Amino acid sequence: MSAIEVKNLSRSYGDIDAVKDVSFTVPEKSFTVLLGPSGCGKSTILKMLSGLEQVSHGTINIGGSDVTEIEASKRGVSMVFQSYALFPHLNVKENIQFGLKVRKVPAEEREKKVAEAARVVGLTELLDRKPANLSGGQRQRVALARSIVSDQTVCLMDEPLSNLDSKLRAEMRDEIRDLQKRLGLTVVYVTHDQVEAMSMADQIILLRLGEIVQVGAPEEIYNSPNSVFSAQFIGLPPMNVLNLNDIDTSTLDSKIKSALESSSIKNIGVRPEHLMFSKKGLPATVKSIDYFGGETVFKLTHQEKDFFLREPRQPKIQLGDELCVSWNLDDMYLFDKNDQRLKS
Amino acid sequence: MTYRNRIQTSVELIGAYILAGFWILPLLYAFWAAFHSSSDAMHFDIFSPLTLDNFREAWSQAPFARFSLNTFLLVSFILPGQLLISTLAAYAFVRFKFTGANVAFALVLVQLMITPEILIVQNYVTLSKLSLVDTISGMGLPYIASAFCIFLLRQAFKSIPKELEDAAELEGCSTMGILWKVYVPLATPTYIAFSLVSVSHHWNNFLWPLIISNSVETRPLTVGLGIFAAPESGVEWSILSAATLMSVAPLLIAFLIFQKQFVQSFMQAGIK
Repeated sequence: MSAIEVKNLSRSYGDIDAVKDVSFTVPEKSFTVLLGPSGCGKSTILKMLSGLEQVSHGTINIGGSDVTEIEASKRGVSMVFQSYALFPHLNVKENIQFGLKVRKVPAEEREKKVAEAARVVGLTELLDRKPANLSGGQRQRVALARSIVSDQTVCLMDEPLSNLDSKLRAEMRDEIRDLQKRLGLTVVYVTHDQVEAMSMADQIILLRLGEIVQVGAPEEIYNSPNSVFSAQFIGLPPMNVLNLNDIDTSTLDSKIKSALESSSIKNIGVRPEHLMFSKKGLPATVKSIDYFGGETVFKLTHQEKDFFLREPRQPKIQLGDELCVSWNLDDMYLFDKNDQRLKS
Repeated sequence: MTYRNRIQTSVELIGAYILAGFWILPLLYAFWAAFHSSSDAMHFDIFSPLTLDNFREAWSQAPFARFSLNTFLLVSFILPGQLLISTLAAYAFVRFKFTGANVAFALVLVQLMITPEILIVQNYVTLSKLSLVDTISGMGLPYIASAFCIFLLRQAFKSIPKELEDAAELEGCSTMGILWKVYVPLATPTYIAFSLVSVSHHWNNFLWPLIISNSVETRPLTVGLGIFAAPESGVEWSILSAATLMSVAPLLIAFLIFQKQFVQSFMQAGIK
């Protein structure tokens, strides 16, 4: 059963269409990530799900009932905001029980729920502090606790980790994922960070300019992107996409050459980790070397077009070296003139 | 710090002390005069005897207790009224999009630019039609919708992040609930700042209360004091000083206590 079902959802501001005819479903107890560059409409979709934003067209179903016209607080969703939206004049405890008080939950039950939520996110010691005296990670936990006590099964998160440093972000990623599993929450999570999306999601909905580009599990999108955009948005460094006219095809392996004969092919794509240094193949010059310890990323140039190669070892290669690169036929992606993937 | 800088700092400091001295002089003189007999007050003999007679005299000559009560009632009528009306108005300006919002706000700003004295005659006419002449509510009514307060609160409300409001809305807060639980507590510094200004202004206001009040039952301290010091009865500086001190004492004490908040709240409430 799906917890959320969105059909033909649109939102326009005057002449600008922020979200165009978007449809998707979110399975129950799953972790769905709305991923895309800024301005792709992902936050607008989330706000429409929450009810804080009006819908121009389309319908939203949450938990089996149509909530398109229902006010935010009656939709059965909780939300974690990018800036955490903690009330600065209230201490941690008051912040967590804010919604319970509004809904006039009896004091005894409130105490119990707050204590439980604080325990789950590890805030028990800090209940009397004001948000100003908390670190970024602690504030994040307060926001999570507030969402937990609301007892809603659907939780919407709007880039909750973007204000944290990278180490804490990695920790909180695990924590949120763990929490979602333990409490059986249905999470819709907005982010522009593909690492977050890849590591946390059951399902990624990739958006661009208000439209869905691709929907699928992380590995599905990574292994079979349906367009140049999907291919390049996910993966770091992104997939190398080269125009056939820009490369000297005569140097390529005969099997690859024959695969490129179709006239509809405009671009070819190969992931950096699938490129190999070899004796024969595409000639290239080393332009820069980034050493990360576990891997080394080479920036190479061929006929003034740059591309990346990723190596788990550290080959003895210097800046300015002239080498050849090759790849396997199976690792090559073909794209047509509309940047759509051609299935071979 | 360079030599030049040091000179500049000390010149500025001396200048500040001189100005501060000039400002405090009248108050210091009032203190001096209030505790000395009339003749001693003029001679500045440091050894002349201190006396409390002036206070006794002033207290018995005019009903200062009644005047104080009137002033207190006036201020405690105006301030809550101002806060209530301005809070609702500012909230409307910040949160609701309605046709004519900009025009309405422009009108508020225009009111900010008109000195209330210009409207004295018109206000008097209006209040007499309402039969509120010579009442404390009549004295306070023209000030009850403060454009300044609306403006300050609007600025304060505007600086409150939208996400806080969204969070409250999602938790089920009503529109008034959001105002009461989110906006008002977060604008507390602005409320304090405005309250201090409003109280001191209306405590000291003279012209309008003078015109609208006719009887001891409504006259506030300032007017009572003005009549007390009328030139035709001969000016007794010592007694007048004692009466003045009694009038400003509550404000003065409050200022000394809240000095820090007074200055701070204005730095925080800065016009944005």
